[in-house]
Order: sequence, then structure tokens, then C-alpha cells
Amino acid sequence: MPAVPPSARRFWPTLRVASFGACAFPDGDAGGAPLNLPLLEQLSLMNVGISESSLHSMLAGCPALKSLVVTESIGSCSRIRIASRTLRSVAVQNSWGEIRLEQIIIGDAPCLERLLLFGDNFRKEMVISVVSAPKLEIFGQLPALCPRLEFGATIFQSTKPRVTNAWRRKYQNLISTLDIRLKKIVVTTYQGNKAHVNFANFFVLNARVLQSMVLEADVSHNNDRAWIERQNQLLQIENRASKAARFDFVFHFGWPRTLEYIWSDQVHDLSTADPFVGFDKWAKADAYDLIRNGPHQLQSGPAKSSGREESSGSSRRPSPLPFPKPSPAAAHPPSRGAMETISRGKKSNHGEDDRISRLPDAILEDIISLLPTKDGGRTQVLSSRWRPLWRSAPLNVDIHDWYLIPKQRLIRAGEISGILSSHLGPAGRRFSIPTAYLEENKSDPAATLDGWLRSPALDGLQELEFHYGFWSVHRKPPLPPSARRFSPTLRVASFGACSFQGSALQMPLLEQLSLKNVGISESSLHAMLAGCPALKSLMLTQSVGSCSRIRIVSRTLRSIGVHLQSFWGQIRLQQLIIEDAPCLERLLLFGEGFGEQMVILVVSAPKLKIFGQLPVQYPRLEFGATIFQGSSVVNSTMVMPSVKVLALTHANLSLDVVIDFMKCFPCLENLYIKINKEDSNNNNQQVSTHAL
Amino acid sequence: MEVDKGKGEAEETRKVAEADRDTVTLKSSDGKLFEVSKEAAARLSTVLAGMIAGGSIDDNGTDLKQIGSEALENVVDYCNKHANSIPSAALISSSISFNTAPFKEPEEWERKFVDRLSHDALFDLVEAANFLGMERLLDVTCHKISEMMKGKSPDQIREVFNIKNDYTKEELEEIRQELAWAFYDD
Repeated sequence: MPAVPPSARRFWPTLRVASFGACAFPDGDAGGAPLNLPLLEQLSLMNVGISESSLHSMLAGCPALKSLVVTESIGSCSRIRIASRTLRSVAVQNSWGEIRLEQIIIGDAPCLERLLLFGDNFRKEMVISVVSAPKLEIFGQLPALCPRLEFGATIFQSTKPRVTNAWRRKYQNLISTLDIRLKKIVVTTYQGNKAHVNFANFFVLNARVLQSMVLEADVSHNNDRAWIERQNQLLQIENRASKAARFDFVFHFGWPRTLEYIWSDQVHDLSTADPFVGFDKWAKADAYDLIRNGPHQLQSGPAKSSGREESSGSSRRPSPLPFPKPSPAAAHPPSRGAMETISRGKKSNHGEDDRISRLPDAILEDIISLLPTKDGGRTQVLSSRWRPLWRSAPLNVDIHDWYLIPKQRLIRAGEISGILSSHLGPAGRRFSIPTAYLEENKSDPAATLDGWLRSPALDGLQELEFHYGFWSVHRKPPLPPSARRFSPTLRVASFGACSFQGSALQMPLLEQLSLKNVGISESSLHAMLAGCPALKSLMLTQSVGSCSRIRIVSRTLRSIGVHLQSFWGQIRLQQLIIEDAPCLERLLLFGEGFGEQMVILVVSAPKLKIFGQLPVQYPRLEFGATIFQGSSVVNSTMVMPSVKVLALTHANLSLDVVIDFMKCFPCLENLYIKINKEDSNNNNQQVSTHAL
Repeated sequence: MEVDKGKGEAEETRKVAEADRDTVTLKSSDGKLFEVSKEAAARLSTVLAGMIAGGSIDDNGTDLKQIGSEALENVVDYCNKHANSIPSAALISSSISFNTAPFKEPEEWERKFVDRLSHDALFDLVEAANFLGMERLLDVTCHKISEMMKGKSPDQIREVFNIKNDYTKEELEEIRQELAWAFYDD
């Protein structure tokens, strides 16, 4: 593990936020002087190499520390002791790799408000003991089995309710009548214990048209032939009902994270028949692959590896023959010169012929605008033929919010103005910039954005995506005035942490809309939606202004996604009423921030095909008289034959619940189940009753 | 499958009364005849649509002097595949027709269709699609070419496409400085 570079030390006196990953802090740092970061407020330590004593002296050297995130392994520390009069938040994440940590002792933390645990790879022996934290407000998610938590004399050791999934006797009669149409079943976090074997075995033996069952098991079983062999025997794969079915055990390395833009793509990309293809992948996606290949690859499964890089969600790709171009024939008139006989037949030896440079400008410009931003710009150095093309090709500024890609220096915020001014326009195709660029101007991110959006290079912009950033989430600066001028041409829009004032935007061509942490009143939101007569997909992320109730009436909407995660601040949304949506095909739910009161009410959705991922417990969903409480069925009086794809998050892999769903959705074909070992909602409740 | 008819069969085709015909016959620069569904041709090619509407379709084979037989075969093949793929596509994404959709990524079969082409055949197809005003086929072929360029250094791109670098060293340096933002790995 490489050491922290010496040059980083010069920042110690001024750092307010620091995140160190995979670096080592040698003992006796800088000749024995302890690390001293007097202003540091946020500290993240990810897989760092540090000794117990150095860690403690580092923490002691941060007298202003407000939040601490400790991720994965922390050097050789088996015990961390925290005593801080300033710390307000502590988070510990364990998900992979060897974990040495056995004990976290929060000795004295008078200001500690939140104690957050993520991941499920805590050691059996792990103990978190809180001696004194009088202000602790937020606490979770407690993993299902360990660690053990001690608050003074109150001790939590979570246990799972027992689910055995023993089905033979219970469903003896049902099996003969139930027509299982499932073709594909994916279970993540398959553990191969008795209950899981019983669950899978039910489908092995009874699903007659099954084509594929994918069981994602713990990485520790990777290459463990004996384990896989044993599982195959237990599942009685030999006796399967569907001889054509494939059974695969998969193992994933990487980060058990879902990245927000993949969620967005599932909502907005309507070209995929099943947005959960790659479900197991996005549950544990390798972030680097994600960036390199783009979300598209994840959606279309591992078979396709169309080396996409830097950006490019499929639906987010701007049009190659951009709107507005007069008529296709006028864009590429057949009479355009340099087009002798098209087929040079077999004569042309690809060794010498430069075919591409002979294409008409309009086509080359289309090709350039399909390239990632940097690749597009670089075409200017190919040859003098290419020099002028980029400047008049539709501008595609699409920069990812990801800094850690090896070898790829991102376009810097300071360079954006230069790009915009050197481009001629006026056919802006896409402008999407990292949140971090707007965060640079903490006090007035709207001014920064406004400056860029004024550029004539962006005239006629079709796709605009921005987020003012974390610091603006509470303040919500207004949408810059210059953004309004794009409303007649926008097809894709994603607004983040901004507020909407004045008259509602009228976006007649808008097809994809994402609203993330925006400030908007209920009536303004409804006016905005009414001003989007072509809207196909809508993503509501985190809080949506002061709206406690959103009512949707749209004859064009085909997809709605709601993503709520409570750590982003208070969620006011309590009711989403889909009143009239005759074209609605997918209803996607993400995150665990659905509160107890949250209700999604679908009055009529005759075309609903894809439905999920239903969180463990909330929200409550009502389709007419059919009611779901999280991922279980309360009442299924209304059978919904349109639903083909269902994704669930389960606390336990329960066959009873799945059979309920199959009764409710008799034509179900693809089923995805993610087992949420933490079962956060249950535990949070349990905690709140114990602790208060 | 494309129909590459010999002279005799073309005679047969001609006998069918014009009004009843639901195909058009196209003739490549080297004189080969191909038949394609009239509906698909009109939907996918603005030029053919114009010719069909304007009655300038020749039953003996409409001359497309700019398009060689190999490229025309691919065009016809594409039109036929496209016609066949519509029912399944419609099942998945209920409504939009290919013509009105603002942009869609190439579908799996379209990717495969262009992936199998040789370098020259790909460019022949781009040019043919451009000549015939086939928006969608241009999308698909341009997309393929952009995939071939993505993530490559200028040198690598020049090599793939045989582009001759006609800049002087000084000119190149000047452009690179101006475009500092576009260079990351060197």
C-alpha cells in the first residue's frame, strides 16, 4: 500500500474534508509528529493501512471532526476507540475483503447523532459498544446477524425470523393447479442454506417453462466446485421440470453499490424489455467497468460488450442526426458531391484507402457528435480534413461525475467555457456536467451554470442534466434564467437541487424528466407536468420540494421511477397517485427511504408490465383493491395479467410471499429477488422501541 | 433474404400487374437486380419513397448507378430484416415507429448486421444509405463507425481508417495545445 504523498501533508492545516483510500499512514508519520488536522470536519478512511495507535493519534489530531466514515479494512486495527466532543456522525462499512475490525468503542461522544452501519460482512465477533451517546438520533442499518451492539446495558443482537420454505406438504394441492409461467428467476445473496435450497428447489421441480435460474452466491464460493456440485444435488437439478432450463451460480466482486444513474436509466431507457436484466450486476457492480462500458452494458447483460466509455447511457445518447434538421433528404442530399460510384467493388484494398475522410461533412459531424466529449474534440488532430468538423458538429458535452478513473483526466470545470466558446453551435445536443463542477462555486452554483448555458454553442439544446450538489440541497438555488430558453427543444432534462420559480416550464418535446432534490410546490409541479405533453418517463429522486402528494395524469407516460433515500434529508412525499396513465408500463422503486406513511396509489394501469423493486416493508401500494405492503401481498383481489417482470427486496427468501405474487400476477415471466440481510426497516423499528 | 434474381426471373416479375406489386426492383451499378418490399423501401428511404410516389420506379429495375451490387444487397437485406423485426420490437416498446422516434440506439440485430461487414462494405453501406436518404440505416452505420473510434488515440484512429496525417509537427503541436482538454492519457 503506497504511503500518503508527502505533498499532501502541506494541506493538513487547512483541510476541511478528507477522504483517503488504499494508502498507508506509516507509524510515526513525519518523524514521529502525529497527524494534526485542526480544521478537518469530514474524514473518510477507506482500506487504509494504519496502526491502532496511529489511528487514535490521528483522531486526536482532528479537534473539529464532525463526521467519520470508516470503510472496509482499517489497517491492522482490530479495535477503534472514539472519544470526540465534536463528532456528530459515524459510519462503518464492511462489505468485502478481510476484516480485522472486531470492536468499535464509542467512549464519549456527546454530540453523536448518527451511527450508521453499511454492508453485511461484519465479523461474527464484531462488537460495537456505545458507552455514552446521549444525542444519538439515527441508527442503522443493523445487519441481520452481526455485529453485536451494546448501548450501555441495552444489547442488540439481531436474529432472523425462521423461514424454512418447506413446501411439499403445504403446497401439495396448489402445485397441480398453479400454472407457473416463470421463465427467469434471479436471486442475489443466495446462501445455499436449507430455506434457500427449498425455495429454489420449488421452481426447479415445478416451473415447467423455466429457461434460466441465476443464483448469485457469496464470493467465498467462487471456484468452489464442491459447493456448487453439492448445491446442484440439493436442488435436484437432474430432475428439473423444464429440461431446457439453465442453472447458473454467479459470484461478484466489486462494490455492492447501486449508482444513481443506472437507476435513472432503468426509468428512462424504454428500449430494453426488462430493465432488471443485469439485476445481479447492478447490485454489485464494478464501478470501473460501469464507467468504461456505461450503464447500457449492464442493462443488456454481459453478452454485449460494446466498449462504451466515459458516458453514454443508451437513452441518453443524443441523436446522431440531430433535431432540428430540415428534412432527412436535405440533410444528406443524394446529390452531395464526391460520391462517384459507391461501391469501389472489391478493388479497394483497405490497406491504403481512406474511406472515412471522403464521407460528406454532415455524416462526419454526426459521427463526431456520437463520440464521448474528449474523443470528439480530438478528431481535429486527425488531419486537416477533420480540423473544422468538430466545431460545427452538434456539441456533446457529457462529463461523468467520477474522478477515480485511471488514466482518464476529466475535462476540468475551467475548461468548459473554452470548449463552449470554441464551438460554433448552434445545435447543442447534450450538456451534462458533474455535480462537483457546480459545487466548486458553493455560494452561487446557479451563476456558474448560467454562464455556461448562455453560450450560443448550446442553442437548441436537446439534453440538459445538472445537479447543484450536496451543498445546495437545502438552499436550492433557482434554475438559471438561461436554462429556460431551451424549454422548446429539450428532449431530456434532469434538474438537481434547484428550485423552480415563475411560470411553469413548457417543454413540448420533453420525453425524459428527472427531478432530484428540487424545490417545487405541489401546484407548480403539476403545472410543469401538464406542460410536458410528450413525456415518456419521469424520475422523482429524493425529496420533491414541499410536495406531500403528487398526482399524475398523463396519456403518454410509460415509465415512472421513485427513488427515496432518507439520508438526503427529509422526505415529504407521502402520496403518489397515478390517476390516469393508460400507457404506463413500468413502475420502479429504488432506495429504502420510503416512510411508514408512504402510499403509491395506482388507479388504473392496464399496461403495467414491469414492477419493482419492492422494498422490504414500505411503501404501501394500491392497485385498485390489490394492495402490497412493501414486498408482500396484502390483498390480491385484482389479478394483474399484464405484469411480466417483478423485482423484490426480501428480508428473507420466502416462498409463501412469492407464491402470493404469482397468484396476483399469473403471467409473470421474470422474477428478481434481492435478499436484504439487514432488513433495515424491521430493525430500525425495533431499535426505536428499545432505545427511546 | 435478398432476392438476387437472374434475368429470367426478372422477366417473370415484370409480368405481375403493376398495381398488384408490393415490391420494387432495384438495379445496381453492375446491373444486378434486387427486389425489396415497397412498403419497407418507402418507409426507410426518403429517396425511394419519393420515387415510388412520383411514379419513377422502373419495373425492369430502377437504376441506382451509384450503388454497387454488394452495397445494394446489404441495403435490401437491411430493409427486409427491418420489416421482419417490427412485430417483435412493437411488442416490447409498444408504439413508436422507427421513423418518428428521435433517436434510438441500434437494436441488437442492427448491431450484428453492421458488425459482420468488412471495412469497405461498411463504408459502401454508409454511402448507399446517404444516397438513398435512409436515416435509420445512417444512424446505425454512423454509430458503428463511432464505436470504432471511441477511446482510441489519434494514431490508432488514423491506422484503423488509413487517415493520412497532413499536419506539420508545428501545426499539430499548436492544435494540441489549443485542445489540451481533449487529451488525457498522453
